[in-house]
Amino acid sequence: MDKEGLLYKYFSNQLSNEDRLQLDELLLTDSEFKAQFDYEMGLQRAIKKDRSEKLKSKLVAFEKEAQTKRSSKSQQRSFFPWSIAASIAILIGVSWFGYNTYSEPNYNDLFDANFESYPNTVQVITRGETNLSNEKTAFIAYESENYEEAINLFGKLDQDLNYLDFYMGISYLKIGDSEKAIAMFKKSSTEDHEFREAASWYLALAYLKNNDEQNAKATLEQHVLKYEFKKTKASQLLMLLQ
Amino acid sequence: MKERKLHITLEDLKSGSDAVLKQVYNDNRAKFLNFARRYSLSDEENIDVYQDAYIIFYENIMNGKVEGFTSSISTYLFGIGKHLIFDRIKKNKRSLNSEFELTKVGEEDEIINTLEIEEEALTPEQELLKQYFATLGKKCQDLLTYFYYRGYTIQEIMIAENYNSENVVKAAKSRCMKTLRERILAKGD
Repeated sequence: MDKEGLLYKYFSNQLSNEDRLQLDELLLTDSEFKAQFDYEMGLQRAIKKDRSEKLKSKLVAFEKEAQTKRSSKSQQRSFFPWSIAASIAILIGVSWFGYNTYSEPNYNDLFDANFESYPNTVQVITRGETNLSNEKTAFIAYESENYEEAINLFGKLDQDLNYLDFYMGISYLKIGDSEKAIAMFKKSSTEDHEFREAASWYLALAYLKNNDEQNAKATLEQHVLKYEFKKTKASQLLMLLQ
Repeated sequence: MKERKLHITLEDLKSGSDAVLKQVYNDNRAKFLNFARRYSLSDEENIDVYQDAYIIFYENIMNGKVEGFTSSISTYLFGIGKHLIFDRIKKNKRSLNSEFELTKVGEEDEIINTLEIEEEALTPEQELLKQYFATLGKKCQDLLTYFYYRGYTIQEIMIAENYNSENVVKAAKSRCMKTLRERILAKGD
């Protein structure tokens, strides 16, 4: 069997015992083959790592949610005298007041306070339309807040469409995948098109969501200097981060 | 409110939906933490281990190593989790609780032999591959993920991603690999 076929069989889990022997032999005797094999094995590991990091961040979010639910449940169950509850409320108020001065900002709260999705300004969608184009189907998913489906459908469109990275970025932010969102907004904010300014604002938010204060600040600083889109909000956010 | 499934199947998990992932996470969390408390790690570490065990379990489903549930999901998670706890204890050079030594080899220990558990860090070359893989278009990322992560054949990829023919998939894969290589090489210039 040719060498390429052997590699293909290896990675698609179809090696027979005989193929396995041939593969082992080639790995020992053919350095070029070994280099190609190692390269593809490396890519396999890289993709695996990429996937596991993304899953980990989802699980961390599930955990946070589970813990919040548990603590609110246990609070409901306990018989707290109202005076104590009131004192706690006051304490929370006071600590909120001292937020800027005394504590690290909570990036997730700041993100939630500033993030709202961007409307579909590309495709006009009317009710009862039949023979939908792929573009329209993608935007219907986007407008129905079915963001995973939207990402899937956007991914199948012509990758040269200038709005694609931008709307995929918003969709990734909506499903909590801030790293992918960052990659999309980075591309979108450097290209010359109508979404460039908005992409820069959302890039800053995506960094915030990713707990990357340094890049969030750097992006906001550039944003307020160059663009008008959400300029006031960007300045306010920058102040909170400084 | 989203519908809760009573029985999660392999196909449900393979679909990768966040709702299913979350349900499985929440359904097994308390059970796992109770199980893990018999060892000497902190609660925080146990949560971390639970998440890592969950990731390994999920990977083994996606790459086809788990072809059907021969045990309950929690048994898989316990098996992997126990293995990870051992590793951490060894690394931390902490002593084990005495009951740990006496734990019988159970169903969850058998399961571990059928799974792929790899925790080594990436080499610098693999880090580069990971970094530049993320710069590829979504179609390329999906195609290469199907092939290298899920072990799909070209024909299976054609069906899953609605390509017109196997040749189109092969050509697309070659293009993606070429782009990846070129981007990494360009970085070195």
